[in-house]
Amino acid sequence: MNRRNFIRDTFGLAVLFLSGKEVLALPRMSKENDRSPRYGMGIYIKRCVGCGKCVEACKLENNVPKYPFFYRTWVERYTIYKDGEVEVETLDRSTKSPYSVEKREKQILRSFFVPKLCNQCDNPPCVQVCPVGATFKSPEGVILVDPDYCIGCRYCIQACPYGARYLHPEKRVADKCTFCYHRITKGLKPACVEVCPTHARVFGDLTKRSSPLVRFMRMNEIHVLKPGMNTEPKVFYANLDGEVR
Amino acid sequence: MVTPLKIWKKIPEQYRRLGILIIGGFLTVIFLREQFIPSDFGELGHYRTSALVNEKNKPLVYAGREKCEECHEEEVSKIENSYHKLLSCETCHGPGLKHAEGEGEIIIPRKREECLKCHEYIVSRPTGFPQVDPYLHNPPKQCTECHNPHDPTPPHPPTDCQVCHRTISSMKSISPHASLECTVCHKTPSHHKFDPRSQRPTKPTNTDVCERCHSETAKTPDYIPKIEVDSHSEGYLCWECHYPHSPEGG
Amino acid sequence: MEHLVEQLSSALQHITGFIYPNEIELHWSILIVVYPYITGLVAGAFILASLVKVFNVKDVAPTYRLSLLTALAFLLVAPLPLLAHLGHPARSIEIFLTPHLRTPM
Repeated sequence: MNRRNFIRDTFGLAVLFLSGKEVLALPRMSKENDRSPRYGMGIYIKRCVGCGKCVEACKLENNVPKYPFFYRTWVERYTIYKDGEVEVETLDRSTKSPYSVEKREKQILRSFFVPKLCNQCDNPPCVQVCPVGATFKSPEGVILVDPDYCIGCRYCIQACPYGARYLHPEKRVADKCTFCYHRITKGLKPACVEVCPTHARVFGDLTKRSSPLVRFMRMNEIHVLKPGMNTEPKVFYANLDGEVR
Repeated sequence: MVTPLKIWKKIPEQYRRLGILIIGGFLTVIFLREQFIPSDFGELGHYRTSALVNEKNKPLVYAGREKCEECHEEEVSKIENSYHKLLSCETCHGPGLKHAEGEGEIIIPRKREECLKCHEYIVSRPTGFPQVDPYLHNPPKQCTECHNPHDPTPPHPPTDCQVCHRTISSMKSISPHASLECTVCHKTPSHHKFDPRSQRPTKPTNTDVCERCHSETAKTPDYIPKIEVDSHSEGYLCWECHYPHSPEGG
Repeated sequence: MEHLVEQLSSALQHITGFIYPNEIELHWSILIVVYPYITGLVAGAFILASLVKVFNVKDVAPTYRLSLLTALAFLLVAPLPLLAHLGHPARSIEIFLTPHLRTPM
């Protein structure tokens, strides 16, 4: 056997070996995607009253530590003054008593609440940077974390442009909003959508035309947070102000 | 005949040793990967499939309105025909799955602070959402004394527009138009107080309303600024420049 | 966890402007910074040693043994801060078992 044939055969074997798994996995992947729903969420900024019930419900449903440094979902309040200044604060009704007294109510141009959560991106930066494969996109498009496999390197927490992830202080693994995956796979709605008193949060399946989320997308002008990051988020905001970060 | 042993003897000593090391290393790696990588890794993607299953099996804490309806039909049907129809039971009563399955307590919020969490006046809240000033609105009475939470129709309809339209009203109250009632410019059907979205107040469509007080021929006191209607910004409506709830931009 | 809460609350006092609530905790802190410093030392010591043998610089010959030993010693120590920083150091073997090839790490 001469050198050329040897190299050719080794190369071929190596390619076959490495690609075998992918080639076998591909048909299965597409079959899975045809049948499974794709979940997303819509938020009406004009309806949110900033009561904080969604934050409370999420903490109870998912055992999130009760301190104000760890949130799976939170509500921000934007106040834009006439002189152009923008003030942003995060609300937490569980630890402090309600809002600070408006010092300059006369000078307010507009003010509103913005609920935020993990955007369950379709091109997620957090999944891309995980060194071990502990965070992944489920067949329904929901990004999940495997707490038994995560090594706690915190790369994904740094990678998220929306600040949606945190390190669980006791389990020492990364944690984030999962759209209440254990509820949605049983046909229920996520806890935050369930308790919202004004139905400001809309949850549904993007593949079905009859879902409330698709109706939401038809009836409103849709924005997403940080579109320039190319993350293709699946949480859509109606009437989102340009000042929202 | 070329046997493998002859080929083996022909390869120089160094390459032989290196070859053994490399092949040995290769085999060890394959063996270790076989042993230690979880068996369900890589089936659906670069993750363990059992993680998906574990996530699905987490315990539920909140029940959903349908579950409450199984036992509490009366309250649910009452609330569905009231102003609180968008609320889920657990919004106020807390997580209910344990209670629904018979083993837990459910919270019954009775204190004033609980209602104020949503209904306190905060400038960032959307206009039209019923809000009250907690210091002025019957302190320290409990809300439930006048409002039934499952049918919170107020004991008498709001007398003022400012109960729901707080921001506009507070802006107007420090402006020159403070003494004007809202109904002077906006014709409001009385049903608007019961079902706001079904019948809305009117908004003026021409300048007649403003001219009633501000035209030079109007019979109103002198301290009200008068203008010559014909020459003052012809072709424009008054509110295209002057915001009526704060006309001098204070 | 109490000390964590104290630490974070005091960090909250120093914030001016807005920060996403989950980002108040600084994640890649002193331990990760120490690692490139140590690897820098290793590289430097190794260069010093190679100057003697490879490039035949006689002037640094007395440091040859020390620099080579230093390079080896620090190399063995270098992964320790990285492991200490991890939430689950014992699972770090997973990086070699199931590496995710798309990540910059």
